[in-house]
Amino acid sequence: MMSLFDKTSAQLQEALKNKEMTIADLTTEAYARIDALDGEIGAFFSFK
Amino acid sequence: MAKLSVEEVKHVAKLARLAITDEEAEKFATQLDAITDFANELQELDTTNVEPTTHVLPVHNVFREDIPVKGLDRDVVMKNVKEHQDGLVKVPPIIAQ
Amino acid sequence: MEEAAAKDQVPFEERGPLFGLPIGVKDNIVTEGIETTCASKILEGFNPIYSATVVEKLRKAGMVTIGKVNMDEFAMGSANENSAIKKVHNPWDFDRAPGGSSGGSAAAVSAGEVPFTLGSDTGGSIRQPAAFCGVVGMKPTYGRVSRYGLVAFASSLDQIGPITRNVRDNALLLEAIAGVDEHDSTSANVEVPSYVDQLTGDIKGLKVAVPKEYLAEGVSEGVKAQVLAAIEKLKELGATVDEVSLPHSKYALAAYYIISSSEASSNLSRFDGIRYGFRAEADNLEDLYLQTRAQGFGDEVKRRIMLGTYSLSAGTYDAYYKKAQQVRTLIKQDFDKVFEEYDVIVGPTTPTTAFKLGENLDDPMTVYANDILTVPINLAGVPAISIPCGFDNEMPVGLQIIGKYFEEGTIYRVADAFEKATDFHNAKPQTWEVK
Repeated sequence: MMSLFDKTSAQLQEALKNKEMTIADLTTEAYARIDALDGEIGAFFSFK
Repeated sequence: MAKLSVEEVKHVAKLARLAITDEEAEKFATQLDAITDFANELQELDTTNVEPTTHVLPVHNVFREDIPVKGLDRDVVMKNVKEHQDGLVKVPPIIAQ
Repeated sequence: MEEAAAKDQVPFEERGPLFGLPIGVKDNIVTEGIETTCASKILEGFNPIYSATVVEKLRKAGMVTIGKVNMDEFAMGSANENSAIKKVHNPWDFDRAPGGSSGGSAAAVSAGEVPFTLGSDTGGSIRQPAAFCGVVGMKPTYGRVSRYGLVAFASSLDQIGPITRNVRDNALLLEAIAGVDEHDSTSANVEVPSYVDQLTGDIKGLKVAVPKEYLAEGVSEGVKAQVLAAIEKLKELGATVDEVSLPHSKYALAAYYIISSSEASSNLSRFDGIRYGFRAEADNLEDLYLQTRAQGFGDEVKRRIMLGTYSLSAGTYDAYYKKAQQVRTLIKQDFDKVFEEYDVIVGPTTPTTAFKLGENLDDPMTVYANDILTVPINLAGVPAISIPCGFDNEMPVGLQIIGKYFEEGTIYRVADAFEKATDFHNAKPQTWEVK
């Protein structure tokens, strides 16, 4: 699983504008990465 | 500066409203000693006529206009209180029965 | 998720540069409706009834708060090992600490879980974990960002700041959260400039000072080598570099621990089980206080409260707290003198790269020594950033750039110019390749 988060915010906004993805996709991506990684990293507490 | 005794540690704990065991008092005495030594270094410096810095910005009293504004809603404030009744916070008696 | 979907409906013309992007918020910043614990048992289950000013500003900028991130309990610690909830592991090496107290904030960005987090810095708590995790962390000038809603540790030292993977994003986030706030009387009534507009890429003629005290004994050879190489890069980019002295540097740690502990002992006296948080069983009020605090606070927090209470007790006030505040003035004056002639001060952010988890836990002095390069900055109140500048034994090394009061723009310009000329910020730990 690769992450979108090696892009700068400007690149992310460009991708949103070009409809390559939605804000919902970005949010899903964040949750997916946390699900996959945070068991070992331990950075996150609660989720909204 | 004299090293802290267990009694001194317990006195400080009382001021801080922290219950500590005898073992904890011993452990804290050692740890506070190490830090106290560190702090003794400051005595090396001549600070005659040096003003203490309590705030890095030249901040003066910041006031708002003396106009009454709505405070917090009491029910909202009570949300995190463990025990309450009729809008008052409940606590155990101040003097043990 | 409904929130994210709703944001998708907002027309592009109405969206700012951070609109819709995910962010993690350090758990000592209150978020209405989301449990806020400061990584302490004493606040387990605490549901704030208001949000911090910075959280409101994130909302206005359209960011999506994904969750709260881990930290050392009440922001006291340098390894995120003092969390009462769980440990944080450095994404570059799971056996190593991410740094602290904003360990969760730095690790989350470093691992690519979210591109932005907010941390807080009292003695290095943004910069040190940023250095250990290879990301960009900025502690703004004291008063630049509102502390309303930041659970106070040391009121004259605390600041909230952004953590990101690149400088421009860091500048954008600081622009979004900075500004005077009527709820925080210590916030500065100074205009927030556009930091992004100052990223010209040009540092020709910039005057850089390197304090000899920052590259002395205690800094590992590996870290020193990377930092010296980074300084050479700044010269290549057109800056002039001179050695200077900040003669009172070595006294900063002692002054810091006395001031911060004293202020902390006062700030943490509000945790008494009465109005919020954990409440122990007790027959009388006195025992309620004693037991609630004994059971609710972790060891490091208790230690700092003890030291602070001791510093402030009658009989040692002049020798401890007042003396420390006078030494603080001397430290501040060291910076003022250098900044009369120089634009920025640079050096390593930390003396070593990330240490192994559990390595320092028994000796408070070793853990404290990790703060020596960062705490003078908090005492003086000046802004400072840590940016990735290399690796030592495959662990990230951070370069610290310190600026004049409210000159975050200059710091960002230098950091950005360095970033454009190097590739360290693009390095990723192996966690990015997870299947």
